[in-house]
Amino acid sequence: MNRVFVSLILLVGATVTWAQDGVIKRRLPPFEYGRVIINNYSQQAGLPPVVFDHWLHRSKYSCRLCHLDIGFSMVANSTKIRAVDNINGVFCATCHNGKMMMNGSIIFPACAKEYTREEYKVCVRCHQLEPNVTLGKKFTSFVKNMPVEKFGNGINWEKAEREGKFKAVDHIEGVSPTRPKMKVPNDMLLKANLEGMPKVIFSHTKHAAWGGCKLCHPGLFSINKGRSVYSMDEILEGKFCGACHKTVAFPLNDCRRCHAAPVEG
Amino acid sequence: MGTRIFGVVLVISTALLLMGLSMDNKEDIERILKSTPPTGPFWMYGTVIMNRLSTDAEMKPVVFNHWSHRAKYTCRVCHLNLEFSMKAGDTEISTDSFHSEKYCGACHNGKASFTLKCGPKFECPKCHMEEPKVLEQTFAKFAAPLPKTGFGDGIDWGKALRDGKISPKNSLGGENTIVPLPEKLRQPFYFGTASHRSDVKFSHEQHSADLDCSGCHPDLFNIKNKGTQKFTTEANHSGSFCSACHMKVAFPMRDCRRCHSTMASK
Amino acid sequence: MFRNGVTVLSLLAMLASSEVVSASDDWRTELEDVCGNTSEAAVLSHMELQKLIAKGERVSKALESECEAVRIVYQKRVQKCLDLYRNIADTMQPDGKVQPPAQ
Repeated sequence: MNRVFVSLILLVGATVTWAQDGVIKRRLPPFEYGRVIINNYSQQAGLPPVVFDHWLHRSKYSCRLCHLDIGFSMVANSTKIRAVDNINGVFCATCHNGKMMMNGSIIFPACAKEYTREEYKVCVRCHQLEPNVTLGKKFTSFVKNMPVEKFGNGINWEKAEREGKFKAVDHIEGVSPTRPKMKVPNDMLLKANLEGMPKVIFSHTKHAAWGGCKLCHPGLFSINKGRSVYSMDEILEGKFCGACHKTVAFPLNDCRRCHAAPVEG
Repeated sequence: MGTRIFGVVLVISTALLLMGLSMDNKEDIERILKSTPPTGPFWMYGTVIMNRLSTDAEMKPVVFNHWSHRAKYTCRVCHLNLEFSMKAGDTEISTDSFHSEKYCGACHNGKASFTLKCGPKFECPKCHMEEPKVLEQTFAKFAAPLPKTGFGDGIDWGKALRDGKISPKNSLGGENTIVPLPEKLRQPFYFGTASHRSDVKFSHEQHSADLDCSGCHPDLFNIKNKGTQKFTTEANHSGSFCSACHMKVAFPMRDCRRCHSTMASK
Repeated sequence: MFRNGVTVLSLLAMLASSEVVSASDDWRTELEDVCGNTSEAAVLSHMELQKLIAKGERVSKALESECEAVRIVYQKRVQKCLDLYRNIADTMQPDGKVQPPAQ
């Protein structure tokens, strides 16, 4: 009898998973692409979750500055940032300390043990109670001067950085290690699994400009061990390239951006 | 005893699963036809009422018809290049200059077509329609020279294309960045049903003429081998899988034989 | 007597903590050495890599006695550097010859 019950449960379970398949997913508006809702402890502490927008930060800093030097994990909500960490001056408060300057203005401070009604207005800049309208306007005016692209933020970040449309800070005194000039390996031509699919042109130079070596090696791509063959399936699940190119860097719907080599024959 | 019951349940559940795909007997076909929603009058098929912001701005909602647009452009132009989501209400179209130039305003700028901006050629009610019924006459005139079918919007778009009655553009003049179709995908795919008389022949080639890979993959169809096992007729009729397009814009699924091409007639 | 013991203990604790402070400068410079070289990790010899790994392991150990705020950030960072060096060292034979990656 138990078996009947178990198989019934399995059947019901299967139906539930089916329901999520084959549906058009919501396409995020350019402004929201790369947004992370951080809610490990916020609601327990009686504050709304933190709404973190990648676009705003990557328009000012390189990837490795936050993900290596400051120590933010690349998996959403796995750094487990606590208010006490920010009070101690690490994570967000490495920059959000009320002292550091950016574009001539002081970066607002993050987290405090006590706060007044007036200071609470600073809290809700990250612990957003309602959508931040000024940030939306900021995005619109920021995008205007940027090279356009389909998908994601609608900005070709790589081109924008290369053309000097903005300068990404790559070093914070006392936090970042000194970085000698990098010896970057050559670009690579990656063969697609499917015969006749354009090969992928992978540029080490373009990636290292934002991330250096350690952001990908060996965590995402082991240099020797791991695998030299990985499937589009796995990438779509968020492994390998998908670790960044599913959520923050230009998304995977932009087939031709990677499968860029001309097809022979 | 327990094993026996388990076996019976297994047989029944397998049968239930297969029924979704089976077209073998009359009852099944009737059941499936019943689950296929009707599509309404021809001129309304593929018409989307857009009212994300209109009513709040004291305007009539936008009545958008797919038929007049798809005669001029392939799906890719709007749904990929111009980034219109395929899900109604998802795209943040607004009169804000950034957005308006990006979406409708990419063509409706007074050059390629009527404009959205203020000035002599400013024609709000063309989209923010007072009376959507006027579309009925526009449609009648539009559809008259095109080949007919009994389903959807009553136009056989495939035949219209083959006969050269329409020649939709594949881009807005920019560079052509279409992914060339690998040899394996140029062969038709066969989707088995319970009876092979009703098997579906699927052409990547026909679909990729209109859409890029990302139009369907991986959201609608993951690219895993045998991933389509999760396919059921019911899911496929209620907005998932094929019906994401083939129940709203592309020919509707009441037109069984368009896909089940070798299915016996009644 | 007991009270004296507490004083001595607290004095000892103070001494110990002052030692940690002086030690902290050591690991900072060592960390700078270790992680300042990752950009050219690919061209370092096996020997140099082993030296950096040993140094990194020392830093990692020294960090264990640091306060939490320092530990959570720097432990992760030194780990990333170590991972990279170890991965590259693994691709080499001890004589320094580079093994071609598995196809």
